[in-house]
Amino acid sequence: MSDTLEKPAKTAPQGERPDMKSPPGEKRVMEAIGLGCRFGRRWVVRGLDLAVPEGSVTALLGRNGVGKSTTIQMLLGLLPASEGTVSVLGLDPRRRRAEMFSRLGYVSERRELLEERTVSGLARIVAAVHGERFDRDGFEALRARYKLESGSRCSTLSKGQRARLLLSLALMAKPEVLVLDEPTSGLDVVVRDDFLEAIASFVAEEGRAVLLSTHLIEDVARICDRAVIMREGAAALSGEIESLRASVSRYVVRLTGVLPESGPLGLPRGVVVVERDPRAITVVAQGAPEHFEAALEAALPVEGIERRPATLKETFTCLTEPCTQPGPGSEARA
Amino acid sequence: MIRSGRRAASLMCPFCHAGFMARERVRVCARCGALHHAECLGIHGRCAVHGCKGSSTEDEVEDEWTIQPDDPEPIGDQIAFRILYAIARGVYRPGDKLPTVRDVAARLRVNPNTVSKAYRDLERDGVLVSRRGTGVFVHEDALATATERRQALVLSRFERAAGEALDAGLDAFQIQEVLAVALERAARARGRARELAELPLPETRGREGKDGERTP
Amino acid sequence: MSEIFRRELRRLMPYGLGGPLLVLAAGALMEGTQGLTAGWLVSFVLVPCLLGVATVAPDTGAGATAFLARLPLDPRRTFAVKLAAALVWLLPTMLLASLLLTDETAGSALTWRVELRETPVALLCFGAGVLGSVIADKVMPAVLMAPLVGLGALVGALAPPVVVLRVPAPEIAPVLMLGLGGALVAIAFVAFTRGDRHRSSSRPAVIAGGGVAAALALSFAGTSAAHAWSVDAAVPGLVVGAEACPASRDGKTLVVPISGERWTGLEQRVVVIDRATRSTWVVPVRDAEKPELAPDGRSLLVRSSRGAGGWLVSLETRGVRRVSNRSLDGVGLPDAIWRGDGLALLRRLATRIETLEIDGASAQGASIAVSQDFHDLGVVPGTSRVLGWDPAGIVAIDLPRTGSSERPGGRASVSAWPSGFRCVAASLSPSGRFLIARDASGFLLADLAGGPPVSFQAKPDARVPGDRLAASFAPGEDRIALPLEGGGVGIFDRATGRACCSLVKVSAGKVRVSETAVWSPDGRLAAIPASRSVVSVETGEVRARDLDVAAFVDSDTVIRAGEPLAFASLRDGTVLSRPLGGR
Repeated sequence: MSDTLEKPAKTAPQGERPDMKSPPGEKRVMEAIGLGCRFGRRWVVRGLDLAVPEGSVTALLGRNGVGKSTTIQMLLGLLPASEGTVSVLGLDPRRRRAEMFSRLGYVSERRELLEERTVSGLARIVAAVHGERFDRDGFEALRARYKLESGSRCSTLSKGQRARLLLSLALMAKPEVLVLDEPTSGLDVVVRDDFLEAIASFVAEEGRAVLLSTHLIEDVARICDRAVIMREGAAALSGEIESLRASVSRYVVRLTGVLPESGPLGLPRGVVVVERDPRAITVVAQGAPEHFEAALEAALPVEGIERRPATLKETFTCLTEPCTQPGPGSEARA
Repeated sequence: MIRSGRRAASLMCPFCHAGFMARERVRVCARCGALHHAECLGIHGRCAVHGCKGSSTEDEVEDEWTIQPDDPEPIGDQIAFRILYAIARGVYRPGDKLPTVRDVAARLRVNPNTVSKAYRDLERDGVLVSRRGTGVFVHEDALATATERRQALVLSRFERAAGEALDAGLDAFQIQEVLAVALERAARARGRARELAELPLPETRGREGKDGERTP
Repeated sequence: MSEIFRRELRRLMPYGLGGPLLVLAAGALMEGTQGLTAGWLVSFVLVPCLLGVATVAPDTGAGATAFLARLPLDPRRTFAVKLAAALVWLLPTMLLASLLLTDETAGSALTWRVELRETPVALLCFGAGVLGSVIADKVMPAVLMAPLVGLGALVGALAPPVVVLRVPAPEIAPVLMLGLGGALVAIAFVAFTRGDRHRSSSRPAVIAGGGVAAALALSFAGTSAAHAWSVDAAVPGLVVGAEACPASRDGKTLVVPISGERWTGLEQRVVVIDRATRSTWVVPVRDAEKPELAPDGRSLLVRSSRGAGGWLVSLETRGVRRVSNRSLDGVGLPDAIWRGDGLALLRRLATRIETLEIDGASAQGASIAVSQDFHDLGVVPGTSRVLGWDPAGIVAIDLPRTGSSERPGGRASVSAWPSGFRCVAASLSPSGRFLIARDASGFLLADLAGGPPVSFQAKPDARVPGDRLAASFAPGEDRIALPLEGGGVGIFDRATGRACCSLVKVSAGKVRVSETAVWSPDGRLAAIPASRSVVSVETGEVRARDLDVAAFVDSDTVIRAGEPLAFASLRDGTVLSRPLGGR
C-alpha cells in the first residue's frame, strides 16, 4: 500500500500559484550584519552576518554552545545585540517587536506555554492577540490532526504535544517568517515529521521563509536549502546547502605503514579525521585536494588518496570544526 | 506491470463507494492500484477491491513519492527519478496533472524549492510541461523518454552493484544468485511476490544447478 | 487584550479572594486589638505585597512571560494589564478591611479615612512586591526580595528628611510611601519592559537597582535641596533673641543669634554682621547657638544645640569646620581657649581643669588639679592663664602645654579679697584685665594689672544664680553694667565706682529679658536687651522708650529683639534696622 498525494487533475484547488517556483530572490526577510553578543567580557557571538532570503529554509547549524539560540534571540529582539544591526521583515526587532511578532512565528527551544490554560483557552488568547489574522478553523483542524484535546491543560501536555501546539499556534497566525529553535530536539519521529511537513507546506507559499536551528542533519538534508554554519572563533559560513556540501570532499587515505591506535597525526588545520584504521584513514576537508595533499603526505606515509563526495553529515563535521581563523574554504561563503 | 484501466476505477472509493472530493487524502493500493480514501484504507486495514490482498502496512511500502534523505544522491535527483519511474510505470500518464510542488514537498517533508527544481529539471528534459496557472502536467511524449531514462538509470545502478560484487570476488553465477534473492526480497516487501512468481526466471534454475555443483 | 486581562484576573483570583478570607480569619481568630493589628497587617501589607509578587514572578518561573513576550504585544501593555488585574483584585481586601478595621470608637464616618490613611502603606507594599516580582525570576526569591526592597527603600528614603530636616516621621511617611510606592511600580515597569524579563537575566535587577538608587538619590537630593533652601529661606523669619550678641573687641564684628519655630522645628542660626559695611553673613549651619568670637575677631566658635560639638568658623575665608566633641558627655562645648596655635576647650571637672585640643592630634590636652572651691572665670585672652577665684582671693592658674599635674602647681594667687568681702560671683572683662566680683552687699572691681580695687556702692541682685556675675563691660571697659537689686541694671564708672545712670527692666513680653546690658560700639549708649529703653550713658537721658534693643549696630542703628533681622536682601546683605529714635 502506498501514499500518493491527491487525485490527479480534478482535485487541484482553484487559483493556486504556479507550481514552477521561481528561484529565491534576493529579497531578505531576515538580515543581520556584524551581529555580536557579549555577556560580561565574553563574546558569545561576534561578527555574524546572516541572511534569510525569501522562499528559503535556512538552517542555523553549529555545535553546542556556539551561540545558535543567542543568535535567534537577538534576531527576534528578545536579547539586545551588543553590536551589529538586525532587520526582520524590514523592522528593527528591538524597537518594533510587537509588530514583528505579528508577522513572525516562533517556536522556542524551551516550548513555553501558559501552563494554567487549556489548549483552546490558550488558542483563544493567541487568537485575540493576533486578531483577524489568526485562522481559528485552521487551528481546530490542525489541533484535531495533531490529536491535541482542546480541554487538556497545557501543563499536562507532553513535550511533543507542546511542540505541536506551539507550531499550530505559530502557523495559524499566518506569519511570513517561521523561526524554529531546536523545534524537534528530544521528540519522536512522528512529531519531527509533522514539523518537517509543516515547514515544507509553509514555505511553499509566496514570500515566506523559515529559519531553523537544529542538530539533526537528516532534517537539514531534507528540508533546508540554505545553511548558516556557526563556528567557534571564526566567521560563520553561509550558503546553499549543495554548494556547501560540494565544497567539502571526503578522502580515503591508504597508508603504507601502520598507524598507532591513537595519538595526534599532525594533520593540517581544516582536515578532520572521520575514520581511523591502522592502514587507512578517512578525512574530510574543504577545498581542492592540492591544498593539503602535500601536507598529508608530509604527515603520513601515504600510499594513495581516493576522493569521494562527502555526505552532509561529514560536511557538517568538517565545517563546524572550531578554528581560530577563517577556514581555507571561506570562499564558499555566499 | 503497467495496469491499464485503473484510472477509470479510481473515481470512487472501493470501500465507502463515495467520490473523491478536493483536497481529500487519497491512497492507492500498491498491488491493484485502486484509489482509496486514506481513512477508509485505515479502517478497513487493507485494499477493499475484491480479490486484492494488498496490505496497508505502509512502512514496508515504497511508492513513487518516497525518498532516502541520507542517501548520497541529492534529494532533488531522487524525486526526479521517482517521477520518471511513476511515468514509466503508468501511474502518471501523458497529460496527467502532477501534484503541486507544495503537496509533494509537504508529503515528502522536503523543501519545496527542491521539488520545484526537480520539476524544472524534468521539464527541461521534456518529461513534464508546466502550464501557468493550472499546474504541471506529464508531457505527451513523456512515456518514451521516461522508459528510456528509467532503463538507463536502473542499468547504471545495477552496473555499480555488479561492479562492487565483481570487486568483492563474486563470479557471474553468484551475482545472479544474489540478484535473484534481492529481487525476491524486494518483491515480497512490496507485496508483489505472486506477480514475480508468474514471470519466467531462468536464473533460478541456474542457481539450483550451481548449488548442486558446489555442494560436495 | 481583554483576553489577556481576563487571564490575569483568573490567575490572580486565589490571591484576590484569599486576601479577604485572611482578613476575616484574622478578625475571627484574634481578639480585639490583636485582631485589628493582624487584620491591618494582612490587608495593607501582606495582600498588596503578595499581589505585587504575583504579577510577574509566577509567570516568569513558568515560562509564561516568555510566551507573552512572543505574542505581538507591547511589553508595556502586557505589564499594564498585569498591574491593572492585580489592582482590581486588591480592591476586595481593601474594601473589606475598611469596613472591618474601624475600631469600636470610630463611627462609619471614619471608614474612608482609615482606608485613605492606609493607602500609602498598601501602595508601598504593592510596589515592593511588583519590583521584587520583576527582579526575581521565580516566586520564592521574589517573595523574599519584596520586603527587603520595600523596607530598604522606605528606610533609605525616610532617613534623610527625618535625620537632616528633623521632619517628624509619621507626618512625612505617608507622603514618602505614596511617592515611593509609585516610584517602585514605575521602576518595575521600566525593569520589565527594558530589562527583557522574558529571559533569565540580571538586567531587570540591574535596572531596578539603578532605579531604586535613583529614587533614593532623588530623596537625598530633595532633602539636601530642602535643607539648603531651608538654611537660606528660614532666615528672614527668624527673630533675634534677647541674649547678648557677642561683639569683637575691636568692635568691627557683631554676631547675632536668631531663632524661631519653622515647619522643620526650632531653627537656630548665627548671623555675622560687619558693623562698618553693615554686610551680613548667615553662617551656613543649622542648630547653631551660643556663638563665641575669638579675641582677634577672625574666628567664631558656634555650638550645636543638637548634641555635642559645634563648628569653627573662619570669618576671613568663611570656611566652616565641624568641631566634634564626642569625648565629652554630650553637654556641648565648654569654654574655648583661643590660642595663637589654635583652639582648645577648657573643661572644668570637680577637682581639675582639662583642656581638649581641637587642632592637635590628641583629643586630650593638659590637665591640672584645682581645689574644690576654685571657681574659674575664663582665660586671659592670648594666654593659657585661667583666672578664677576662691574664698581667699583671685587665683590664676597657668595651664601646662601638655601632660597633667596632680598637685596644684603653676598656680599663683593674684590678690586676696579685702577683709570682709565674701565673694559670691565674679566676672572677667573681655580684655582679661578687670575682674568684677560681688558679695551679698556690694561689688568689688579688681584691676589685675595692679591698680587699686574699686568698690561700688550698690545693692546686687541676689536672685541671679551662679558663680558668674552677669556684668557687662562697655567696649572701652571704662564703664560696667551691673544687675541691681530690684531688677534694674546700674551703669557704673569703672575707675570711680560712681553710678552714672540706671536702666529699668520693662518686659515687652515677646522674649525673655536679659540680665545684663548691651552697649553701642562707642560705649555711649546702653540698653537691656528686650527691655524697651535705650539710655545715653553720659547724660542719663533715655533716648528711646519703645525699642526692644538686642544689639547696637552703631549709635544710630539697632537690632531689635523679638523681631526678624530686616534684610533688604541676603545677597548684598544690608542690615536695615530701624534707626534709633524713629518709629
